[in-house]
Amino acid sequence: MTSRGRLAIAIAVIGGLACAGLPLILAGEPYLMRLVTMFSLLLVLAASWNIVGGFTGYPSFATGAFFGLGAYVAAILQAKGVDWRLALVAAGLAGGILAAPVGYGVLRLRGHYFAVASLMLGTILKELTTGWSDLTGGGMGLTIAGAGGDPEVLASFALRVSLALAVLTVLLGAAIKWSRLGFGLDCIRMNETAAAGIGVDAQRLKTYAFILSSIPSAVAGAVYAGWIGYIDPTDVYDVMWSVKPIVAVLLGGVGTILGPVVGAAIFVALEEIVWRNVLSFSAGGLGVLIVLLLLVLPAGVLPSLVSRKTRS
Amino acid sequence: MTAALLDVRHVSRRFGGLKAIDDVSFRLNEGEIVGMIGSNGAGKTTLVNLVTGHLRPSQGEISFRGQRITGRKPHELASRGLMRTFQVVQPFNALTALDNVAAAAMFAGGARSLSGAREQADAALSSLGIGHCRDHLPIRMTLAERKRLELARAWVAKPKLLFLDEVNAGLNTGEIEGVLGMIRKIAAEGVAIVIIEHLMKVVKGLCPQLIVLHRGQLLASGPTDEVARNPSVIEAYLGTRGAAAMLGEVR
Repeated sequence: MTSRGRLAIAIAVIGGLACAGLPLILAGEPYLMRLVTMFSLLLVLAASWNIVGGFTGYPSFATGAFFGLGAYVAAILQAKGVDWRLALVAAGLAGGILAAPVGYGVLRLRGHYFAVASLMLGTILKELTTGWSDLTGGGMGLTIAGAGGDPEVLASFALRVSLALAVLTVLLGAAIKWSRLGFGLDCIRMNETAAAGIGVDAQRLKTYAFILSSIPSAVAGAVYAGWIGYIDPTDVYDVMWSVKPIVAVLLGGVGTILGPVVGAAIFVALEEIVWRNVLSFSAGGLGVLIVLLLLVLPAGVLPSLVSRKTRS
Repeated sequence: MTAALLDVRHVSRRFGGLKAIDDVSFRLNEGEIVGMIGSNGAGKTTLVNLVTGHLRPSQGEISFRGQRITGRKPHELASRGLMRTFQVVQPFNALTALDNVAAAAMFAGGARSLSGAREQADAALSSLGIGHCRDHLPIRMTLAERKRLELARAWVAKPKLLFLDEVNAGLNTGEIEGVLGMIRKIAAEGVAIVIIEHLMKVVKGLCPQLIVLHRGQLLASGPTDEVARNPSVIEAYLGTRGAAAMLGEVR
């Protein structure tokens, strides 16, 4: 079997075991359950961002916009009595449907211009959500129906769903990277002019990547909304939902399949350590740590380990 | 008269107030080898950019294989068999030579699978004499090898028409001979080739037909010997006094 096939099966098996086992192992440990759920959601966002930012080389700051959109779509539908599974699917669809025209337009820009334009999407959605208060509750936020049951059951449920979503998103990344689409995205990242010269339809492939990346992000928002039980625009459209996944991927390894996993784990661990020890200066401390790590391992932890191994 | 492979009709391109290409028309037939010469700034690369879709003409029409292609995108033209190389080599730096070429086989050449694309790429690298570089990253290859890599990438896409933009620039005499040999090999398969050069001596041995650009205009076109003797061409190349001296010598 090829090394790719083995890696894919390893992700599926380990991920499947984690989905089945972790909720049982962590039962009665609400703090750890919360931590692993946060890790899983961050992993979903990181692995999604990696499709656009890593594989394609377009540093998107729109992850948070799709996260927030997904959260609101699911919350509104559930408030109207729609089943949660259907609400998750609808959130993903909404993300993809919004990503298609936005991606087609914004992906014409490159580098910093693209980054700034993509950042605006979240701001626009936040304003729209706040303004359309009949539907969204505006600045007052929205409470998700059905979240009022046993908190332990809900925590276990959120953990399971977010873990499963994380495994699927990592597998999606692998599937894209190893496909014809991934090969084309590689060419676009390295040299878009040359890519067009050998027949790569860059505009189309970039848009596909953007759509595929937006869907899991939106579903993650939906899972988050159901888990937390209450959302408002400043929370789910917070720019940190766009920034944290980028930092996680930078830490783990940009454009690699397992980089988001490693990066999200390091990020969550660092965040917890810093929160516990230097609460008064937590954000600053976290920032300093991240900058130091990126200076020491600019390619990310995973590629640095691999290149050390091949050198020795 | 059969339809030309490429038909460029009254094409112009302005950049602000500058007319980089001014009312240029020419036709190419299948399998033809044509040299396109002109001094620096004559508009050679701009014309290639216009024909291959990297720039849009301000005026004029371009047809390829009987279909109007004005304003079509480069990737679409590449898939239809209109390829180019770049004056400054444009490899995919993190891909091996083999995968650089395999990408072209896949996206422009229509290979279905990666393994099929790599097979074609391997064959192209070997027949262009850089089989030993197949697993190298472009950065480890010499300029001459990278030029051949560009040729291989264009060739594997099975083009009908190939524009080679200063494929010899920066190479020494021996390396130029090698690359010219490769071009003959590609032409022997019936691919029409336009060689963009500013060295008359390079195109003379290779191209039966010449197109001469001067300040964005078509100065002359036709059989190489005729064009090379054309006084206005000589004047454009050597200046008035140089031309007078050379024409005197010829007489």
